[in-house]
Amino acid sequence: MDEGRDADVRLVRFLLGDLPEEERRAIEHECFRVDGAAFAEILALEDELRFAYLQNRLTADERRAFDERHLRTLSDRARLAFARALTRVADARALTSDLPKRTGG
Amino acid sequence: MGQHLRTNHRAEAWSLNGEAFDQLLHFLDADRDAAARKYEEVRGRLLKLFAWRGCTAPEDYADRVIDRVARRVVEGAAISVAEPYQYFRGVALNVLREHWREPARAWQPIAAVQDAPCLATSPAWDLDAGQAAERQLSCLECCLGALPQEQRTIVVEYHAGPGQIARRRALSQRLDIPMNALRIRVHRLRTALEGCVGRCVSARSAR
Repeated sequence: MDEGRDADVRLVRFLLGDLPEEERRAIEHECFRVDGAAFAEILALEDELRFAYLQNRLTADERRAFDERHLRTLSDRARLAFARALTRVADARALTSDLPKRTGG
Repeated sequence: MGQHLRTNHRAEAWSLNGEAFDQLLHFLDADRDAAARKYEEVRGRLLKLFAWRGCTAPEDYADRVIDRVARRVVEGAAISVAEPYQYFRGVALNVLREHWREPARAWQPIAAVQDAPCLATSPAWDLDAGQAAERQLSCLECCLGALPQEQRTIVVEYHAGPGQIARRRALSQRLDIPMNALRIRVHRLRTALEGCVGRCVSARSAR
């Protein structure tokens, strides 16, 4: 996935099941801290992965891992359908609104 | 909350009854409302832990963990309350080890039931895919329109395709928040929208 801070790259690997057990447990430990900050960050990144998947911004290996881990249940597929719909609506609204001028990327 | 009360997992020969559940809540917080919130928080994290570990029925495993913690609370086990959620995580890892030892087929029927088409939140399963997608889009337009202007603009700017990266950076600067904070803010907006769309689709399906 692009826009990669190092921390994001690590969390994406976590979400795609590509981290060693010890690192995975360290992230899970952060997720179970009472303040919830790390958990919120990972939830947001997981959501973001769906958009990256839809927009073909994942590598072939990441895409395969996403298929295996995040498209297994009906609710997974419903979330992906929602992401697709949101992208479509946002694209349509962006075309007809005065959003900042597109500069590529 | 509270729907978790049930008898299950016969092998463990213990069930979470109302009294045990009350004690579990008290363990989480002496204030009942705060305890209820913490219960939902910890259950939500358990669900994600099991899902991220590739379990097909995370609800079932999360409930197993909660049962075990409740049982230990009732039995008076010494549990540190400094980081109570970490205790749940430790029990979850034990449940995971058991999961890995179980034959995969043992849990397939439960996963299948949890995925029954009638439980899908969207698109409506009794419509063909095209109709369902159109209904979802229509509901999304409605829900997006109900957001305050500023939040609606954030959602559109963040998700519109071409020029997305540059626009997100500009959005982050304009709101004066780092990119990861923007991502969390947008995630909360999306979660609210998704809930709205789910309710809208259900309401229109019922008409």
